[in-house]
Amino acid sequence: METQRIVYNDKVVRQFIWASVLFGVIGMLVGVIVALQLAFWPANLPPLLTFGRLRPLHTNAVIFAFVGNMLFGGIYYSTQRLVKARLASDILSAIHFWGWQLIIISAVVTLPLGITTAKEYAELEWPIDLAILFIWVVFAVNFFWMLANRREKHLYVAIWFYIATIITVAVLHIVNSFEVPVTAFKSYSLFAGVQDALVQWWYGHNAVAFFLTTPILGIMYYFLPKAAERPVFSYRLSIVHFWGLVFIYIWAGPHHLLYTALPDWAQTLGMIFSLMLWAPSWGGMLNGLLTLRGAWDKLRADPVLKFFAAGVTFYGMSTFEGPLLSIKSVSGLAHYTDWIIAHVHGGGLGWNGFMAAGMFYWAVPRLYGTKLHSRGAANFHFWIGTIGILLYIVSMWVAGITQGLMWRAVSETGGLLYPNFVETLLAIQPMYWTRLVGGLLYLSGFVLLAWNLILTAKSGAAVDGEIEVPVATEPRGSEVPWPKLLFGQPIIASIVVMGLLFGMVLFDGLVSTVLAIVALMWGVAAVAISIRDRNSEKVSWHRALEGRAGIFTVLVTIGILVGGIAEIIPMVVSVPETIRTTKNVPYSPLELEGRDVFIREGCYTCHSQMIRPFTWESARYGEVSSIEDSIFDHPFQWGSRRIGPDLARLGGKYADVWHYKHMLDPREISPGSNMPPYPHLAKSTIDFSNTPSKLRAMRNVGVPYRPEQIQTAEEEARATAAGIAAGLAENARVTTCEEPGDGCELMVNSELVALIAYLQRLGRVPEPESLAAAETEEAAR
Amino acid sequence: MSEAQRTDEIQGEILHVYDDIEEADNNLPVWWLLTFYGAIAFGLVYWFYYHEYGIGKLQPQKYADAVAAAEAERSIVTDESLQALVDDAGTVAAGQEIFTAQCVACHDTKGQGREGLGPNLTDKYWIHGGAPTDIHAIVTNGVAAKGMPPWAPILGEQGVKEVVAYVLTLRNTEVPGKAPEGEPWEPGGAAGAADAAQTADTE
Repeated sequence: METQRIVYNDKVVRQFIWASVLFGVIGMLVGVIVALQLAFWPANLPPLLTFGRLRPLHTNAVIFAFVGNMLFGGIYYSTQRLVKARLASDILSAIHFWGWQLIIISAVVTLPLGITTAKEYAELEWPIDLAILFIWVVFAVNFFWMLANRREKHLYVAIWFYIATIITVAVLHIVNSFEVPVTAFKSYSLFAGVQDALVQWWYGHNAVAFFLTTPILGIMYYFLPKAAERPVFSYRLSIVHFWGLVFIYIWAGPHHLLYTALPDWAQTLGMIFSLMLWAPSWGGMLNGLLTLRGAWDKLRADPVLKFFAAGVTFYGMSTFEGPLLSIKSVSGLAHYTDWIIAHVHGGGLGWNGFMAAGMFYWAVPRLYGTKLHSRGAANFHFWIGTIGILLYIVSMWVAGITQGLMWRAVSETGGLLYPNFVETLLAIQPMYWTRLVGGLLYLSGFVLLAWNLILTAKSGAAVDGEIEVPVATEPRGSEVPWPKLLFGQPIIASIVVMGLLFGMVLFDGLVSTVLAIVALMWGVAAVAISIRDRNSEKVSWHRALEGRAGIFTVLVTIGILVGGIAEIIPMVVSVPETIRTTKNVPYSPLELEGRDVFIREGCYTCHSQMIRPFTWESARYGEVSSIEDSIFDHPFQWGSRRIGPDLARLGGKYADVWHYKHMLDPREISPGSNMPPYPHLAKSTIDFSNTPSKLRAMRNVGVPYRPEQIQTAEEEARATAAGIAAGLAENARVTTCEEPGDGCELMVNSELVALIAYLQRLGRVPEPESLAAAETEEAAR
Repeated sequence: MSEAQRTDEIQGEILHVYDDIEEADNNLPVWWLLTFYGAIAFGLVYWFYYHEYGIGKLQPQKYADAVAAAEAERSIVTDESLQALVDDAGTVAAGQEIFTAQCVACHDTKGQGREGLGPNLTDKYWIHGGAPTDIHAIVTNGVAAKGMPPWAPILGEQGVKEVVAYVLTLRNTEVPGKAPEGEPWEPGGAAGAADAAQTADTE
């Protein structure tokens, strides 16, 4: 038989792995720095290196630079071998690699500069969003082209997960980046308040699902059986848990918004789908751990298997904790606390970090035709890494539950037991130091990995994998026609069941119940039929599907779209009505400028703007938040963490002087606070000539600014600023000035004045009188 | 991929092989299937219980009930009842504790006030009236325009009374601090009595 030699493109794999190692160390180092800043506020170095600006750098670096490069390397390494084809294009591979690194570097530059959209894990501004989209398309073309060239008809489960990753991340990124540019580095989200919150957490949750989970599961399915030299436990478990994850994950986003102003039906969907997600997630863990049956003895010596076994176990722990935290009452305690930080680091350090380490220790020696430099060092890395994770997550569990309980504690007199927020922060300070130690240990382990891998590479030379394959492929057998696949029994059953369940929206009570029962019976029958058919001789529907990459991709796309459409469309439809009927009014020009300062400084990384319907919460922060409060917010600022108090109703709570002094030195007003000082804001001025274009951009995304309001925005902003500055001069004897000079304490047109205007507006609608006056004025013209 | 060539002694029959990775086909663990089906069933029941039939109360409703219940229990205070608390050392001590924790940021440690923030509480001048019920109303509801937050939600009904009792002990101690603001207030003064009646109504 005539054969031909295929040489795999392992050069790009090596590049991605080294980039991942480098950015892993950098991203974790930034993590250690922000952890230090929380424990020890002087570690904030304003203006560039404050927690609010560095925290997004940490999250973006570890997610997109560390894990991103790791998963690209892992996908390219494994897929070439699984389909027996070289990566389609060396040029595309190079563009993919270098383009991604450029995006990372642009993030490293822009985030500390405060160029941010303020949407978590999507902070990069619009030009970079476009670059990400372009590189992702390059990745997709390179990948699917390779599948088209494949010499292995059927797609292995790892590739299913890669397909889901590529499709879903593209959809998430595109939709969540709908934004209207104001300047070259500033944009406003297209979505308003509650819409933006829902879209953001649909994105945020599924970035975890389809960037940090599905590609890594694919990598697990390739590298774990390779390292263990054992058969994968169960093909049918792969099928069930794959489709379970693809379909269910996308619905679960609203569990980040439990008890917020998001409508209750969406919250409930978020909760129940999160619970349904538990089993499909554990399906992945089981398939990983049970593949190790017969290889457990190898763990003693082999660091690769240790990392994989622990990584998969941490995956199981995180995916149990996730559904637990999604139960509404548990979320009531845990939301906004460090429990969430513990949860993400169980996944991030335990699952992503350890799977990366296992893959690197296994692949790098093979990519350089040599042996790992030091097994002992790798084993040592495993142990300090594990101790680091345990210190990290246990301290954050304690911190989170402590703070959550203190927030809701009621005293004998009927008030809050800890009315001063700072008390609840000081109580967890020791935990912040413990977490820092854990993080440092983990980082040290990773530095050790870098050293070990570099010496390994030096002891060998780069080699590209090769394989001998027969030239003449066997004549293509009769394919299952695509309509048979697209309308196979499982698809019809899914359509019927989903149709019946969606029908529940149209009917109340009894009819709904009947629909649900029919749906349930239909589902059970479909499962029974597929079990019966499994024992028949013919090729199963799914097996045939695995031979058809295109149809497989179409079905994955439909599967991930259903949940997003079902949740997002009602919100898109309902919000214009809210805007029409609300008593709320858009921000004044100066308030809008102040809001942009708030966003730039990353205040949302520590302060929420969402008061939940609990008596202990309204006692502390004021009336419960409604959809209308944030209906003109592009982007929304509900936040996800309270390292400082909620700000939803801060307006009018304290005098301007209070804010002025507090921003200059938070500890003068609030002893024990860990907030960074912002005295520089008093001296940096705002160019109000840009203000009209900001209002215009807001108008373009649906905020009802009137044309004359936009025209006079500059003068109005100046006048409001002058008023606030005059008040400060009079009440607190602050020396204000128009031009910088000796003895000037506060510039009239400063960012600080604008920020105070914004903070004083939060949760307050301006007096109706002034509104009425504005309307008469308008009528007079 | 080459089809089923061998049977593994632990994993069973090998269905497929890709790049030397063998794939077995074991049954799904029963307990795992039960958690999956159980979660789906729970989801449906939960949806019907809270949304289709509205049997369970969702949190906004529970919250509204709790607020209404607290409103119903609120008691009435008078100048006399508040003044009487000044004689109770325990109440005043508790009030001082609250004052030290919450009020000193603006009114300073002895109640002498801070420039640009809270007024001096130790002179006889009161901006919003000096009757015990006036002070009680201010502590309860705050003065949004001046930056004084409403303290009732934070301190609770009892806590407000305690801190008012403590503030009443500061009256006329004349600690040097912020210059006097507002009108002088004397016990039994006409203005004070009228205001007191009014604020008691709004309680």
